[in-house]
Amino acid sequence: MHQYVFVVIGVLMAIAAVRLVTTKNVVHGALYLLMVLAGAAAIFILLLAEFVGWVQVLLYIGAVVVLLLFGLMLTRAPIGRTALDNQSRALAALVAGAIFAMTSMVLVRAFDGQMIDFSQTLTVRTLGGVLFTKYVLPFEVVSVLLLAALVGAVVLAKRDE
Amino acid sequence: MTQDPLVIPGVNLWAIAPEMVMVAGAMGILVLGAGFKKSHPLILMAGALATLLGAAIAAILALGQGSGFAFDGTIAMDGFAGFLKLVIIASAAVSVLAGYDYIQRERAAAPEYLGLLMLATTGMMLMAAAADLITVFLALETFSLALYVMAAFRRQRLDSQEGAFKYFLSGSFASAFFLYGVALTYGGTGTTRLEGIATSLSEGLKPGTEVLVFSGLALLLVGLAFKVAAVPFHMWTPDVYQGAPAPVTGFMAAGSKVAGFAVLLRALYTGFHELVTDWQPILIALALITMIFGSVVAVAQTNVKRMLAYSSIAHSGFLLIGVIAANQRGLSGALFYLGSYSFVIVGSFAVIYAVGRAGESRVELNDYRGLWNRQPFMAVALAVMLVSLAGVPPTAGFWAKLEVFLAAVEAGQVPLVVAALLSSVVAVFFYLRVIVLMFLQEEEWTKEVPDTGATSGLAAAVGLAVVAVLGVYPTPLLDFARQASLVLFR
Repeated sequence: MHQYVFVVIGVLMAIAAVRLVTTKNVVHGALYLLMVLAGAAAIFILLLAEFVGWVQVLLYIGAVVVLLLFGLMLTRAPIGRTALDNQSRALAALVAGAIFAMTSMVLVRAFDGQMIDFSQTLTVRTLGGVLFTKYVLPFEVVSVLLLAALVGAVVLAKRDE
Repeated sequence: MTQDPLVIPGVNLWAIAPEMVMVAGAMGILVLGAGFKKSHPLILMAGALATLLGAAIAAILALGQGSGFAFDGTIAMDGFAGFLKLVIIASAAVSVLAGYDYIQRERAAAPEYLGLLMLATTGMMLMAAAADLITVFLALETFSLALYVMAAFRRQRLDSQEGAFKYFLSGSFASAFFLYGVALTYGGTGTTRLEGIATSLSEGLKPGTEVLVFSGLALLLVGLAFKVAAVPFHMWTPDVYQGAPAPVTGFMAAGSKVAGFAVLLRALYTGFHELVTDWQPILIALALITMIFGSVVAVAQTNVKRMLAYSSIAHSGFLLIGVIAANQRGLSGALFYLGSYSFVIVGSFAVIYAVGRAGESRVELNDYRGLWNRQPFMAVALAVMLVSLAGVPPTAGFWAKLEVFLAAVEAGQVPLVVAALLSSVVAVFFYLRVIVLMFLQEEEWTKEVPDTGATSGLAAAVGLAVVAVLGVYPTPLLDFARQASLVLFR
């Protein structure tokens, strides 16, 4: 059952990824990117990494892609058919191919033949428990960090009087 | 379905009491600044100083609460952390004084300036106490983010933008290196707690995981070497020191050195102490090129801020000698060094700001010609602090270097100490050059006295007093440093 769902998601992701790099329209590209990321989230959930899956939805789909679309709208970037190609496809293909070959080789060598134990689940509750007991102090420090980032962003973006 | 109840770890708020005071004060000042647009910078500065005083009291009280770990081993509460927290608080307080003139003269946004300074101080204090690599990383990011923005505070100026942008980009890379180091160390030892790393290293690593631990440690060292500006990870230093407003530069120089060395010392003396024979040679090479490069290149500088940037690089090299010694004297020497260096560097940059005038246009060596005639107090203060940076007796800098070098001799690192002495001699040249210019040369073109703010003078006076008092009577601080260093040697 899992295998079939995985194949369906994988094929959809592959199609979206190919369209993402071949489309001439930036907004379409962003929407294809959204499809790829949603597919990745679905695969995480399929692999029982529930939390990572939902973080993927929240952060990448909810924040990054929306930010990308807003950025396109607010900066009046050319929406529609424009040439955004810097003519280095051969190099890009080489890098992408090398990374693909390397990660798949490492993954196969490290996990060859291992099966996921579907009876054992790592729930969000477990993670939350660890976050609020063993890592409660780092968790609080993150909020101080975000406060500093927020104040800093205002300082840098504020117009001079 | 039954669920395990959450087991709350031992909460000891004393361990983070100074940080809590700081964050509360920072938020108070930000809210005050936003709510009352007309609130006078003087009130905000008083608030910041009161908060720093509160944090200092909290840190002193925490010293009396015994030592140990809190929050499941993520943070340590001991003399080492207490000593460094007090050093950080003191240099932040002097920076607030120096910054007040800056805020007044350049009409900078006071609440944001003070708020960021206090958040940075919080991050630095957490670095001094963190006993867990993830906590270290978050504390590092907190103070770095605040400093990136403070370095860009003179937004309209090109050199400020350039420096801040370089700092941000290379700092982000360094953080990424550090984080990767944390991940690899976790992969090798199964924990990010320094205590846990020490246990797992002393029990012996599983075959195949050595490479993870060693590459993890190497990446951690890269990240920290960047923060303390050790060669070859120093590229950002001169540009950032030059571009940032002088009071910010002083704070950055003092704070990021203290925070970076706090983690280096704690991690290498406790967590990775088992690997001492492995990290010592790396650090020896790092220390050698850092102090020689810093001292030699500083000679060629004509801008005083850049000169002090290279001098700060050289001082990182001297401090690394204390780390390399790996004995108790090295640790207490490094602590004393950090304490005296912080006051001196913050005070020196207060003088540079007072001399620099609006827009900091006068920061070239030639602008210091005949300073004695124009601003005698500033000339005397800067001269004494430069003598201390050079390590000439009887100043605080002399005792700091003496302790660190003696520790290295005890550890059998005689060639390293000889190299350090030689680069100190080179360094004396460029410190003395400024002093000669200030006192013995007539000024060429102007007699007008700049509008020196009172608080810069106060900041310089604090630096001067600390250097002079510690130079004549270093025993109390040395004893405190020895006491503080005991906890890492059990």
